[in-house]
Amino acid sequence: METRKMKVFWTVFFIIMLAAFSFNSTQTVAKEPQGVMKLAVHFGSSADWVDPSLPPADMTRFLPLYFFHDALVKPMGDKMHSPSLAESWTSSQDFKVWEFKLREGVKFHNGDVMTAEDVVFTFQRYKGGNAKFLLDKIDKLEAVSPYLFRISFKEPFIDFLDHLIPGSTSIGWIVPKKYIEKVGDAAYKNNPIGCGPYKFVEFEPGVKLVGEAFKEFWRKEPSVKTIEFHFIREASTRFAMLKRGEVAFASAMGGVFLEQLKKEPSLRVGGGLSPNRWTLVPSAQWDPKSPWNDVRVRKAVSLAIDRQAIVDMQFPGAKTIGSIALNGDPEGLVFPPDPYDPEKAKQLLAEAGYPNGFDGGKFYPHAGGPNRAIGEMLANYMKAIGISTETVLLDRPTFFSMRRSGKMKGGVMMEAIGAGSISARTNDFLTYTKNYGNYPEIDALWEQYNNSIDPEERKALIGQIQTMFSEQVVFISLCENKTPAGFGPRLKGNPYGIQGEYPIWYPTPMEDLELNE
Amino acid sequence: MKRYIVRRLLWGIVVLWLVSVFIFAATRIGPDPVLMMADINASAADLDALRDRFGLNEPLLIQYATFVINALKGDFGESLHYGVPAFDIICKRLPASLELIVAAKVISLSIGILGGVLAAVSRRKWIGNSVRIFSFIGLSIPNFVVALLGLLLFSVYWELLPSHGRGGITHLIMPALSLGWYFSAGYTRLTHSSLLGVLNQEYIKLARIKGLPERIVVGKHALKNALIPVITLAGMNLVVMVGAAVAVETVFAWPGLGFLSYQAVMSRDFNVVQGVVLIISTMMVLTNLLVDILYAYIDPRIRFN
Repeated sequence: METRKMKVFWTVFFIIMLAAFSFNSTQTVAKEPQGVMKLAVHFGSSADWVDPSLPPADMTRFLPLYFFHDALVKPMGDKMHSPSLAESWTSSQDFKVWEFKLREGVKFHNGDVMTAEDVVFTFQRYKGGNAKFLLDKIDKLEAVSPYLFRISFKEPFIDFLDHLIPGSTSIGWIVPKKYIEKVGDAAYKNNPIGCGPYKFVEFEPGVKLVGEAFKEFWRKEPSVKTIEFHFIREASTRFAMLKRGEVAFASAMGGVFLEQLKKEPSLRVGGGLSPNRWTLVPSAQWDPKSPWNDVRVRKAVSLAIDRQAIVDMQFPGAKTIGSIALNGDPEGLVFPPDPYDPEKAKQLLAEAGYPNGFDGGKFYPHAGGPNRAIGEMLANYMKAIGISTETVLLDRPTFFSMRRSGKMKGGVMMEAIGAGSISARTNDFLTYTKNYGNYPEIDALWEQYNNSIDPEERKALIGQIQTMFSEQVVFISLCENKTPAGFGPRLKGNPYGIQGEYPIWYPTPMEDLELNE
Repeated sequence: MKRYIVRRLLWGIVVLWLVSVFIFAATRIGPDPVLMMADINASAADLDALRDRFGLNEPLLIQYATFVINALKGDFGESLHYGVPAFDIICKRLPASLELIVAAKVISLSIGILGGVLAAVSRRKWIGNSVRIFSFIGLSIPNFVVALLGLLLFSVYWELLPSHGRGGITHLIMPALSLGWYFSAGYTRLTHSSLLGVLNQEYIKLARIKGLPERIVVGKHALKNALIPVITLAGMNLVVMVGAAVAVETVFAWPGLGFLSYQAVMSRDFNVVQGVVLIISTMMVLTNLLVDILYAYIDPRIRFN
């Protein structure tokens, strides 16, 4: 009897152990990164972009950073300032000294452990976008302990965190000190080591960028073993690649391709929201002799634009807007977009003394992408209420060169306002419009805002500025920027994981990307 | 003969120098290239730092001297757009371009010569008409339209061929056909007219009187002479093909020099533009030099002219 009992016991024991072992094995296998995910994207990359010290602040250039690197603080999920390599941070009351408590045990791809020495080295080495602006403010960089980094500024710097996120600088994306000191800057660019979710495998300029899962990534082990970004300029090629299953994802699938995608049962349509806000800026508003100087004229143009039609044509799923602050910005004010009312627009023009319209001067649509198509729509809306414009199409360098040097006077231009917080957006706007003119009241408020370290006072001041922007129709807010994309059957879920306070328009975080079985 | 070669060589150097001056000046016209690299709202200090990195703050003469000295060493500087040495990218792209151009050339010459011969020798009217229509269509439709149609039919609908990139022979078929068809039309017409001219020559009549089979008369005696202008045109078209390949390379994401140079021009990546132009010019100058020497060797009268 005892023997029998023992037999039953051991049998049950073995079955349980076997089941437990099988379960455990299955779990282990499932966790291993597997498969190759290929993504066709419409933009290219530079070798500069894999080194966080080099890239300018443009959003696109952060794709390789999210791929191979990690930052002290970065936009993730719903948060603009999400703790990443820094678990937490504090600032002194005068906002002159900031301390970052670093996450312990974070490893670079070569096995080195990330410490405060690496952070100090990263800050010292930085020469990317806004480098002079930021580095000139720094008084001292200290590795207080292996996991405590301290930065002291010469003046109070209340907006410091805003300058750690895409759109401003990449100074907070940490690189390995020992490795770079050993191999040098040039070699680092050819084989970058970071502490991001994917290890660098290959970069073929203008062709592809490849990474392999880094199993020891602190946040989570990536699910996909290899990710390949293929740089494909032609939309029809991206569409063909997606339809044939050669890629799991294709970006910038607007216009006819969007319609085709909707007809394909095996494909899905998605879209990544960008932090950019499209606006129309009448650059002639500061010229007292110009009709654009009259606020009623600017309001009339705002009422003449069918924002929803622009969204439906170019940015399906985006929202029309009446202000430029990002959702959830604590200092941002939200104004509703003006309705599409051409009759009221004509009435306002008549009141302003232009019942038959006027010559609106030159119109500069933003360079590249679908912007020319949007430009055509905007020119037609203005024409419909009698404002004729001469559309000037420019390539990207010429557009920026002219805009920067104030050569777009006497007309109206399209503008994508795309920095982080409303403070950064206001700064960008006021900086480049200085070449065209200014509103002394707004400038005075802006100076007061910059000199204040009282959060409540700052909020009130920037609120007043935003209200003046809106009341004076300094710019005409149009819509959000949402790029349509196609998802193939192999792609699991929604690859756009950062769509909250500071949305990112390409598939990221990379470690969250998944393939279907 | 030696003097002739030296003279041609010196002319070649002068041509290359003129090309270097022209391309240097052309790439400096227009807006500042660093505006393409920098962020929209980059500060003046950021822009200056970028200009320093690429030597753009130097006077133009110094920039030109640096460019020439470095180019002689095979260093075209760093690509502004890609952030890697321009020479490395060009060397990586050159084999892909050569592969595409050779394949397109083989296709265009095969179709062109076969079509031209058929049109010239066939007594059936419909064959001649079909060849003419085929040539007309090839010349009329831009190669990017052919490429897009090919992509749509063979890749998207019938799923027979891959849609992009460089790989095996299947990757090459559509880009080479799209590029080759346009040129085949010209070869067809030239072969046709040239062969008709040769077939009326006395020595062809003699060959026929001697009772040689028609295929020998055409294939061995007439075609050889008729092909001289076709081969000359094919040689001249080599560089034209690099330019024509831009659209095809874009549609099929073929990593060749055509698309690279187009992108470089659009992004003011002058180091790459200068590199591509100089390398292609050097290849052309050397090819011409070789041909001139061969001509001079074959026909001594050329040396004295």
